[in-house]
Amino acid sequence: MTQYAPEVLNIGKLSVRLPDGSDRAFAVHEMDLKIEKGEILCIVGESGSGKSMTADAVMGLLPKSLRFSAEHIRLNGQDLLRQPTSTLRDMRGREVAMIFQEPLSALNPLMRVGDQIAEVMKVHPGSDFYDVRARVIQLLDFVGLPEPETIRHSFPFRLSGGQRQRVMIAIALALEPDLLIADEPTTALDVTTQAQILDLMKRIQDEKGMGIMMITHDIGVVAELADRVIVMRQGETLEEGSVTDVLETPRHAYTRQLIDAVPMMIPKDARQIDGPPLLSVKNLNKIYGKPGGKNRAVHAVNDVSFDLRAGETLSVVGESGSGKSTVAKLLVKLEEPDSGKYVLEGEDVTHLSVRAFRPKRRVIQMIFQDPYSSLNPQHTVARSITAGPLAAGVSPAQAMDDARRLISRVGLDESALNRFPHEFSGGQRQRIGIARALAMSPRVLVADESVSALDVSVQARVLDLLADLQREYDLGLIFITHDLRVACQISDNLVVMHRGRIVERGTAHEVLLHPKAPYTQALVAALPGQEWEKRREAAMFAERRA
Amino acid sequence: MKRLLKNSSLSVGLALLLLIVVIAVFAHVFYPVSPWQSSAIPLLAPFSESGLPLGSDMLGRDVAAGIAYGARVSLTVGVVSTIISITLGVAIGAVAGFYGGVLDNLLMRFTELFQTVPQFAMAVVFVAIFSPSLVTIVLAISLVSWPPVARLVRGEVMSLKTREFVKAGIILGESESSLIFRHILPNAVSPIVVMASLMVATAILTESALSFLGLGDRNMISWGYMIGASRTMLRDAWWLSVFPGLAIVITVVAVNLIGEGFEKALNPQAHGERKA
Repeated sequence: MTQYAPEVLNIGKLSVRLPDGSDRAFAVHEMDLKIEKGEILCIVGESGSGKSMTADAVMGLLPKSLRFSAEHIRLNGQDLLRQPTSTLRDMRGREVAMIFQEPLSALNPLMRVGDQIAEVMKVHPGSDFYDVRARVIQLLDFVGLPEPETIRHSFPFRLSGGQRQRVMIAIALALEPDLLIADEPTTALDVTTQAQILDLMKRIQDEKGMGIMMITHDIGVVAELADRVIVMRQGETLEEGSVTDVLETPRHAYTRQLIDAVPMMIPKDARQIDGPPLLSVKNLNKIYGKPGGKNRAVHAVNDVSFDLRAGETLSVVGESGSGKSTVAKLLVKLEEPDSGKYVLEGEDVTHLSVRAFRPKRRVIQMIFQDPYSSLNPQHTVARSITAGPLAAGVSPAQAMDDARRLISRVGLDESALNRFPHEFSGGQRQRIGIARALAMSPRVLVADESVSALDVSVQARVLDLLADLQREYDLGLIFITHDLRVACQISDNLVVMHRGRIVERGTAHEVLLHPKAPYTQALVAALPGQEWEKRREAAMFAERRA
Repeated sequence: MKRLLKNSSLSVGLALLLLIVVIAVFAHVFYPVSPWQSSAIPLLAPFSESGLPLGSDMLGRDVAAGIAYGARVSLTVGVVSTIISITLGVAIGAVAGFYGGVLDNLLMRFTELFQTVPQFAMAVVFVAIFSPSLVTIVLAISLVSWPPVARLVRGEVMSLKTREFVKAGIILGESESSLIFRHILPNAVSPIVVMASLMVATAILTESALSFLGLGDRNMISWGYMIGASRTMLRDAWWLSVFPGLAIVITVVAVNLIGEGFEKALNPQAHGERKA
């Protein structure tokens, strides 16, 4: 054992072959990688770049149908490719551990968290930790969970997303491995929770001196955490270097493009928006579950009021559980409010039945979060786009004409109309979703996390499209998002929601650059990569002046 | 289609079923004489006389002819009763699943009413009350076999109606019937097809059991009747019950293979085969 080797991990020419008939031959192509003790390496790339495959190859988690080859994968100087399965099994957990994106599905729902942490120590007998119970408590304490003694006896469903991810980290740290692999560990978490987990990872690096291999698509996270960065695209390593080099003087055009696509906290120029409100809600309330009933009642939307004018973009921002999606559902009448008033184009529609509201559906349309599940997989694009107009009584020929016009307007080829949703990428599907909403010629569009599932570069283009369409059709846009940077770029006005209430409102400039409510301040402070962003903004202004 | 044919259980099942269908459809060509008519010496053993490959029964009737004509009854009962019970089950399940609430409660209690009575006993009672005929047998089998379909469809509809593309349909102002028929049911087709193919097999078995008990259609020969009529002679003339029994086994296996094949083809992930 070469314990003194400064390198924890060294991979030489790793290639993962995709099955025949895939869109490219290699998921990962001839990748070299090394991580030193106490170093955080971030692998960045958009979806399908092969970044997760790299991690899976190290952990031996690749599906059997994929063939992979490498000159060597050395962990602490030992070549993993030349070890018997039993040795590999022993090394996992002891020398290398992994945390995943979705902490709920990675934890066993029927086991108490303390037992799950202890299990790692039990399957690796002879470890240095004799007192398992004490070690579990020590770990829970280290990852910052309150009352470790109580948490130890809890089941995973009792914990919040952030707490579950802490438990996962505790499991990974149990045997003090030399390498920690983290595959998008904060993607499923809220910003404030993300900030805490990132802090924890930094602490792990400082106090334990582990090497960390972090896989992420979020440049903000990279800027916050990484020592070194590898940029991947379609299985190829495009660029490697220290975090400052890669982010501030990127050599590869793709890296530059990726960085430029990250939205900045710069509000768009203030516009004067006049006219009567298109849509107005007053003291809207929605309570799930009966008060005093068996299950706790949740006040999902609590006294929410706002107006929206033609041509205005109003962002509703908040973390998960803030009630922002419920607001969207109330606006498009997927849910009925318990009290309050909802006026659409001057008409009180608060208590209209589903049937009576149907004619008004042309006025307000929605773009969904997940472009994969919001299109019927069995319908052609043409059928999806024309369904609404046909139901509203437009003639088939006219509906088809509109569909053709709209599909080219959102930047797709007319031949797309005869194809099925699964033949398109995520960004293209979201364009189809936008075309479908526009086919109703609405005055108001509600976009519920519509760009959250997209890669940054695709996201930037879809946002541009939305802004263009808004100008063209004078649409009122309600943009629901958890992403403050996106909200800042796109909106005129902004409301911040927390636990069902609006805690702050105003122009994007006021709310995000000079937040007054403590909750908004905490949200803004939690954004990853702020140092980098400041430098980036400064550089951009300097460039403009020059 | 190519992928479907690569699927071996499906192609074997289809080949077997095709053979049985051909025999049933052309029974009158192969055997112009009615299967009820005696055409030889009684109790001829199989293969002892040319023209009577499967022997004759106690009244000198051709066993092979009986099997060929019996295929008609079995297939008709299997297919027609399945169509009826699927229609009934899908309608009740879809309405219950889509509307939920009180209607769902009522329909599901009604379904349970049928599920609490043993299926076969109910079929026997039904046929016994309304004199046995092909029509009453088909109705009886349909009546006892729709509840599981209703349960399955209800579950599928309940999960599909929360999917975003259905919500998108609501927001586009599509009517409820269009949501059910255009968005929800087409996406629930695969489990229904799999269940239907297995129900055909159960229906064939139920019909045979009814005929065995003497509750078959008196005008039509069926496999179950043949076994029932010859059960007392099992030791002296084994071929009278063994060949109709084999016919039932082969048909049911064929239909089950098809069902299994459909399930594999429509749901490849569950069988460890990746789509691409």
